[in-house]
Amino acid sequence: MAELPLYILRETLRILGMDEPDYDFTIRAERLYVRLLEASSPKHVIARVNISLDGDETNFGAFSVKSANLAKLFHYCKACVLIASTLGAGVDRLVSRVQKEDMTDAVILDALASALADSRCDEAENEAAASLSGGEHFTMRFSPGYGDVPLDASRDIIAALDATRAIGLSMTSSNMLIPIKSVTAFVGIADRKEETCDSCSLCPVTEPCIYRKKGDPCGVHDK
Amino acid sequence: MAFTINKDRIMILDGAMGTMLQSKGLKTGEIPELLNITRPEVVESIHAAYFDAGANIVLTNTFGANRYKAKKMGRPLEEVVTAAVDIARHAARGEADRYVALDIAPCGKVLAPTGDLPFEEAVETFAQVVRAGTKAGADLIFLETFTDLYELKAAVLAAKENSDLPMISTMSFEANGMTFFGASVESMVLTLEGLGVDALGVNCSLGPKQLVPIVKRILDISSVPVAVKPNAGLPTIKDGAASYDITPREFAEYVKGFAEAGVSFVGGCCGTNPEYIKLTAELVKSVSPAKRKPNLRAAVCSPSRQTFFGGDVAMIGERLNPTGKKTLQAAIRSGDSDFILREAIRQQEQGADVLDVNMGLPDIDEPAKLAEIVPEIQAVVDLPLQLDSSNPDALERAARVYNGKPLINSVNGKKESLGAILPIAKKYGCAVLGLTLDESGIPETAEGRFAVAEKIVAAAEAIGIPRRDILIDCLVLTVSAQQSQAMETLKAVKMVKERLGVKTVLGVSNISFGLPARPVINRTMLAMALAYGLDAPIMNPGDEGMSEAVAAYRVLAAKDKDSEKFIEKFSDHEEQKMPAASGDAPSLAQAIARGLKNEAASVTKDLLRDRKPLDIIENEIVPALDAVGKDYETGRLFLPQLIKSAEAAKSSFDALRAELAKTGARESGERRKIILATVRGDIHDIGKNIVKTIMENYNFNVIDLGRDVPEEKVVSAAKENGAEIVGLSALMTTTVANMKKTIELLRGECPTAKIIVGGAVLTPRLAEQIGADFYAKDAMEGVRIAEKI
Repeated sequence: MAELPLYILRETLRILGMDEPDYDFTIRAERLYVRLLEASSPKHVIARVNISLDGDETNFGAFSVKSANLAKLFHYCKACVLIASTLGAGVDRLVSRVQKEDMTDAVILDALASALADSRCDEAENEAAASLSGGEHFTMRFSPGYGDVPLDASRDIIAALDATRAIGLSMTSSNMLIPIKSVTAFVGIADRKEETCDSCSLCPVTEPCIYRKKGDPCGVHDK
Repeated sequence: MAFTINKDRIMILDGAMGTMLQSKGLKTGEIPELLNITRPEVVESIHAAYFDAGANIVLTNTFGANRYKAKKMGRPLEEVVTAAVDIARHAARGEADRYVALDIAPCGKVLAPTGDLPFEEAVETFAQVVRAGTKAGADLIFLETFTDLYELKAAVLAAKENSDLPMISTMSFEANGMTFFGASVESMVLTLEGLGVDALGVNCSLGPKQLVPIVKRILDISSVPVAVKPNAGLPTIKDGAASYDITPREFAEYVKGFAEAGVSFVGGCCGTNPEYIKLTAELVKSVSPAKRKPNLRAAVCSPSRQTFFGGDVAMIGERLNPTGKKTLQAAIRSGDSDFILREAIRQQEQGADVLDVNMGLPDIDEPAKLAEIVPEIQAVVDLPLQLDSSNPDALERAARVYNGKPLINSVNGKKESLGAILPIAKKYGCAVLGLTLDESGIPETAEGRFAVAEKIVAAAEAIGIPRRDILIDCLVLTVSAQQSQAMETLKAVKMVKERLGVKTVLGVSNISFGLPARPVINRTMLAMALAYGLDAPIMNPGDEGMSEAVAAYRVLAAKDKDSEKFIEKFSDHEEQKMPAASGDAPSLAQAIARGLKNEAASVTKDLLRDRKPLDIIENEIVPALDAVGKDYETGRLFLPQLIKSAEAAKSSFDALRAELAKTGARESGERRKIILATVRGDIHDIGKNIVKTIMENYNFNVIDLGRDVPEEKVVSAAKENGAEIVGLSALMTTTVANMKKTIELLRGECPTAKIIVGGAVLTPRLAEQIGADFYAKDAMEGVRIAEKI
């Protein structure tokens, strides 16, 4: 039986705003994690593309994105990696089903799935990192919807990676990814190592953010 | 010469179009279909190269040509499709044995309920392409690269309803034999054959080597010709560009193997070019079509799961039929689909193989209800469904939106029934259950029932429904009223099986009406019927006696190998009968605080012995919930614990309501109504469902409209129910606009309703800007606000 890795448990707790899991939570999370793995068929597709900057606009060749945050992130970059990663449609079905079985389980499962989706995207990023040459460094990972990067940039990433055909990733007309537990992202390839990025300075929802209040901001915690 | 599907020859399909366009300079981001207008000579040269390489059929450059992409192309769809067909026709240069297939691929949107594309919009999207291509003179229709069986069904229906051209349908599979959407090879074959495609198969996805086991599975269970279009191996990234790992020679060798095994249409997909097709055509030329001996079985399916009749006993769960079930009736009337879905899940856990679904109540719109609940059930349970209604319109609408191959319950020997039901089963590719009764009623003898069964089988076969898709119910009558009939039923089962060779179904529990100890009669009748050859009992899978009889039968009939499942079932059984661990029972307040569902219900039942329900609500449940709520608000408890307590409180409330219903008493005052909806465009609704769980346990009467709810539906539900409070949730910045529209409409039509909004992207300021009355940051705050309204 698959064991629930500590880093997934920790991220799950973070998503739920919890500090310490109680016994019942741990039992449920472990049981749900087994079902989650059974239902998931994780896949990703990545590609390195050259980029050029024109003010706030980043040009990726096949498309361009207007975003001051992205332009700032890519300040020292001539290329970036596009990532699309998904846990697959089975996870969406499982989350729907468990909502009818037991809402407590559903909330835990939903957070577990988000944590797993994030960690699969980390793996895609690590795979891409293996092909960096000397003197190249990754920036922080940045997803559409974050800061001022428009949500529909996901559509461009999916098209550029042919991700619908490659990994079964689509979008609704309101820019929601399907399967839901999926990530699209940019990672800049910079010619120097960055200082730690203050992810909160770019975020539109800092005021009600529970993670920030706990001093545990996004994007900079240990993987 | 018009194209026809000929089982006795092997035809060569073309290779990749996209790969060739890229090699001719198509850039990433350019729309390939636009080249039909801007550079027709490039497209034509590719088709011509494939024809010259030996292809009999080329696919038009219309892979993504649909209404959504037409917007981006800036050209009318019909113009693009017509041009594409003309180009391919021109490339054939009038030579014999060269055909043009209208190529249709997924439309790029995901169908509801997984995504936001309504089923009928998908049908119409494909229908537009079909009409244009047929008018332009295509010889056949080629549906390819589908990964969602539901979308493919929409495309097949569009083609059937708008064209008489032959049709080949293929899907893309992963190495495990499943598509990205979780459709299996077997379900594809069952569904597409039912829908009447002329050939089916697999394209793209993998190289020929990886497709070998998948192609074998398709050949093994399909009766129509099979098409295979593999990629040129698996993709590898070389210098940043994708390339494929198989040479034309290796490719052609594998494909020759497919032809030898019985595949009728062979070609290539991504990474292939005319060289691959040329070698393939040369090698395949010497192959004579293989005689296939597929194993065709009676079966129904969902996209991921099949139930075969005749091998093992298939239990058809009967709990989703409202006849005689008050709680289910109430749930159907009030639109409480959660109750229905939970019942579906429970029956699956109890071992059902198929679920009967019947929404027939005298005062509801049964066709609409059945068509609405079927996709909802399919979203949470992967069992095949038996669509049950006496209303042909309800059956047709449900069969249309069903994903997979369902069983229709039922047709009978009456002329009117045969005429109304069989065409539905034929068109939508359903198996159909025939009841042995006709204009003169239920025959009293086994021979009489056999004769009706024979008539049904003949009528079904006459319109092209294969015999294996017909199941017969020889009808169980009440033994206390007509004692001799039980044996007649059993004899009829045996005759129908042996002489007609069809599978049999019986609704067993009717047998015992009017007798004491009904379970004893039921399980004995079931065991007897199984011995007479019953394949699929319609029964309550939660009925211990009957499911035990099935388990025992499986051992005795050597279906349960080494009695493995039986041993597993009954070792658990012993354990469960052990007395519960000792220890003091918790108080109701403790049970709620600790979120103990079962204990909360049982303690409530104990309390009811000497206390009134209202006393328990006011002095036990409400204070307990308040304490939990405060702990949550002050950060001592977290969301999972809050929900757990709410669910425990719910089971306590349920116990109380059951008591109130029994005594005929009413709860004091009406519970206040609140409408909840996730706005149009948002398909993710776990947040709204959390609010619902919490609200219900603060004793609000929640009317849950679900997700992706149109503005008008919110307004009409608010009006209909006279709801004082409407709660709306939005998750995406893009859908906040729909929330605003909903609020504007509500203001006009229901000026007194108070509107609470919440969801990931909302803030107090945004809530104010879009005209909501309140913003709630979480479910608990929503409750607090609603309590004050």
